[in-house]
Amino acid sequence: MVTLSVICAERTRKSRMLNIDYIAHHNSLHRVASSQKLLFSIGALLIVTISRNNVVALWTLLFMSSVIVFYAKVPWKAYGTLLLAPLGFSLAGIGTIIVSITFSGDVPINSFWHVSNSFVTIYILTTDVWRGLNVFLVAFSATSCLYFLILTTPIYEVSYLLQKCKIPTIIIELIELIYRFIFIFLQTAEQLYITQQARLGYKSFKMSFQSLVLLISALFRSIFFHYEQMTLAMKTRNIEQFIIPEVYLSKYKWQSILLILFIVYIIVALTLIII
Amino acid sequence: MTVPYFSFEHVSFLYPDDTLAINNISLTIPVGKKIAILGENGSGKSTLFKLFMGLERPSDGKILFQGQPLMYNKKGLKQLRQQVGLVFQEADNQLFASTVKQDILYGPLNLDWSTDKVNSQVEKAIALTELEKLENRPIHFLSGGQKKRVAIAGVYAMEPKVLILDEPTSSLDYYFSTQLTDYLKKLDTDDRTFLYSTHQINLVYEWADYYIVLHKGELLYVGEGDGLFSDDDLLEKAHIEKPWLVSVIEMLKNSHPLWENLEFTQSKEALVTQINKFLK
Repeated sequence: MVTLSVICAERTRKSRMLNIDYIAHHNSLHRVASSQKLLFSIGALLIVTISRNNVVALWTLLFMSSVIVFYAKVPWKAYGTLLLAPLGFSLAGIGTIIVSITFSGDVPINSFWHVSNSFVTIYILTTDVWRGLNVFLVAFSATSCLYFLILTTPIYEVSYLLQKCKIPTIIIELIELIYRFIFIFLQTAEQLYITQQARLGYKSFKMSFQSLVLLISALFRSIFFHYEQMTLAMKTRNIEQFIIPEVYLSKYKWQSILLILFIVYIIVALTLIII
Repeated sequence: MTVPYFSFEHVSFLYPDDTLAINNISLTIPVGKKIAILGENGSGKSTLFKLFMGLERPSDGKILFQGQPLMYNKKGLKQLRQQVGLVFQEADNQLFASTVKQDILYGPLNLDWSTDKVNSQVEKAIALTELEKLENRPIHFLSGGQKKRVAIAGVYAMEPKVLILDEPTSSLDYYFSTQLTDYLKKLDTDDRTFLYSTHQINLVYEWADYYIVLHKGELLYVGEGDGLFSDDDLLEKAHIEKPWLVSVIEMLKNSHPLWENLEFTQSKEALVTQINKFLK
C-alpha cells in the first residue's frame, strides 16, 4: 500500500500544515508586534548557531519551548509533534558524523569503538560523538527558535516586515501567492481524493496506482484553471500590486514582558558562553 | 437622455476553438436599472460578462462604454474596471489575500483614493455584508457562503457604477440569498446599474425591472418583465421558470370573472392589497 501511505502522509501533512496556520492565529502572542517576535527568534537563532555551545543550545531549547508552551499557550501536544518532525533528519545527519569508515585499515589510537574486517574498518571517535551531540542540540534549539516565530506569527505579517527590509516586491508577492495556493492545492487534492474514494478508487493496490495518477493530473489541471481564473479576477479589480501599505495594517505593540524575557534569555546565554 | 453605460453593436464572440459564444448581439445597458440576465447553462452569460469587463475582445462588432468605444489599452481598461465591478461565480477563484479585510482592501488600494476614503469604503463594505466578526479571519477558514460575502464586499468597496453578479446565490443559503437582494436594495442609487445572472427567478422577480434573455449565444429578449413572462413559448425555449407570482395571478385571472382585472405585481404584498380591494 505504497500509494495509500503516500496519501496518508499527504493528509497528515495537510492537517499539520493547517494546524500551524491555525495556531499562528490562535495563541496569546498573536497580538504582539511581529517585528518583536521576529527579532526574538532571529536573535536567539544567531546566538545558538554562532556560539555552537552545548549548554547554550540546551538553555535555548528549554527556554524557547517553555515560552511557546506556557506563555504563547500553544498546545504542548502540537508543539511536541512538530518538534519531533525534524528528528529523523537530524538523527540521519548525526549518524554520518559519528561513524567513520576507512578502507586503509589504520584505526586511530583514540577510537572509542571499532569493528573491522579485511578491507573495511568502521570506528567511532570520542570527539566525533561530542561533535554529533553538539550538532544535534544546536539543530534542535535552532528549530525551536524558528517554531517560536512560525507558531505565533501569521505569514502575511512577516511579508510587511520583508518589505521594510527592502526585499523586492515581486518576491514578497510570490511568497503571498504561494501561501494562498498551498491551501487551494491541498483543498483540491483532498476533494479529489474523497471523490475517488467514494467511487472505490483505492479498492486494490493496482487501482490505487491508477487513481493516484489520475489525481495528480487532475490536480495540475485544476491548479492551472484556478490560476487562470484568479488572473481574470485580479484584472477585473484593477489589481496591479498587492502589498498592503503600513497604514492599513492593524498595529500591534511591543510587549514588555516578552522584552524582559528576551533580555533575561540573552544575559543567561552570554553568562553561559563566558563560563 | 442620459448616455447608456454599455451599447453593443452587432457583437459576436468566437472562442479559439470556433464555438460561437455570442452571436450578433445588439443591446444597451441603461443607467440606473436593475437587470436580470436569464438563460440556460451555456447560453453565453459568462462570456457576455467577460466582454463587459474587457477581459475578452469581441471577434466582430463594437462595444461602447458611456458612448465611447472601449479602449483595450492599459489606461482604457483601468478606467473601465474602476466603474464596472464583477463578482465571480466561484468565490474561491476571486479571493487571493490572506485575510478577509485584506482582500476587501486590495480593490480600493488600487484606485488612488485617500487613506480615509479607503478605510471608510472598506468599513462600509464590511458592515453591509455583516463581516465584522470575521474581519481578521484567514480566507481558508471561511465557509462557502462567507467567502461569497467577502467577494461581494471586495467588489462593492470599489463603488462601481455597474455591478455585475454572476450567479451570486449559487452557494448561498436561503437567509443570505434573500439578504443579498436586501444588500442590493441598499446599494441602489439613481445612477447605479446592476446586472444579475441567475436561475432563481423568484428571487430576482421582486427586484429586477429589466430583463435580458440569452439562448445559445443569441439575444432572445430585452426589456421589461411583463412582456417576457407572458410569452410562454419564449420561456420554454430559454429554459426559464415562470415566477410563481405570475403563475398565480394568471391562474386567478382565468379562474373567476371577479379577478379578471387583476394586474401583474412584483410583490406578494401588492397582490394581497389588490385582492382585498376587489373583495370590498
